[in-house]
Amino acid sequence: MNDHFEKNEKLYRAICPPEVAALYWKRDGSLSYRAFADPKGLSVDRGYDRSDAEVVDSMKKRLKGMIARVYVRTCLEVGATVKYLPSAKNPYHSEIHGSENEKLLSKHQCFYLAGKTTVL
Amino acid sequence: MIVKQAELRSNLKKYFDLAYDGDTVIVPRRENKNVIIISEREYNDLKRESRMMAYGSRLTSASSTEDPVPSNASYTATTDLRTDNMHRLDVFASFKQGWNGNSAAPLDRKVIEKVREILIHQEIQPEIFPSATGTIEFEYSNSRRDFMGIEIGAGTKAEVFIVFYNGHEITENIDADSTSINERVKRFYE
Repeated sequence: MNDHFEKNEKLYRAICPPEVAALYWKRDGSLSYRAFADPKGLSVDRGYDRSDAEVVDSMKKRLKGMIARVYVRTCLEVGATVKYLPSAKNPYHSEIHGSENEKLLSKHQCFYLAGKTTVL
Repeated sequence: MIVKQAELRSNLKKYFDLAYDGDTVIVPRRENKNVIIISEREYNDLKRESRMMAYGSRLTSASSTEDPVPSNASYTATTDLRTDNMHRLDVFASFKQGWNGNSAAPLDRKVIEKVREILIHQEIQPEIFPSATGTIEFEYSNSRRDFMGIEIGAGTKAEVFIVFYNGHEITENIDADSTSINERVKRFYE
């Protein structure tokens, strides 16, 4: 695993804890785009060679909440940057940044990603 | 409709097309191991409904006092959006460090009380959401399927973000007070 991401690679975001995850649901069942605003960088797990089920199982062991999935290509379509930032506890840890120099995603980027996200 | 496995195997495209067009295709199997074919759209609708039941209407109590959302942070959504929003603000006020699972700071009490005061005077109630940027977002959508978000923080201005149904976007600043927000919301719904 290195810092190269294929466009078809999937990224998984845990929206947690459950009480907060609930707060991001709109009444029409969609997700608020504010769930993607994080000035410290939007933490995700990269899928790499794992299936959705494997990733969800792994994340649910560490995190309580809901798991949202987005493709790398979707991030690139709005000019966001995906960075591979493994940690000692999580070799899959990555972050989605607004650009090379800005961690926070713009509203345009958050809105686009929210519309293209699948909740697993 | 009920379709036997052999019939399904011989006419797979036909039944996939029917499912895509909205039919529910039930395939009986031995020992009641039946399967159902539906369109992706219908599947997504079902998942959405399921999520709404699981998450959307009730916040359950947290299990530990160390949790970033404490145990008194529960509320039940009501049909009255204003009441619902007041309860949501109470939950936002209970957030501790790391409430978003990624080291977000608690929301400033002054921001919460400012938003509470604005919401009391809003003729059209928004849906409200917390942000890890320390702000609270009002969200609206109209019958044209335009979207509008108004972000309120500690400053005197609120940022308005509109995405029109055709994808065109605008961002503007307005005064972060109930009168200005009421006026902007009315224009959005005109």
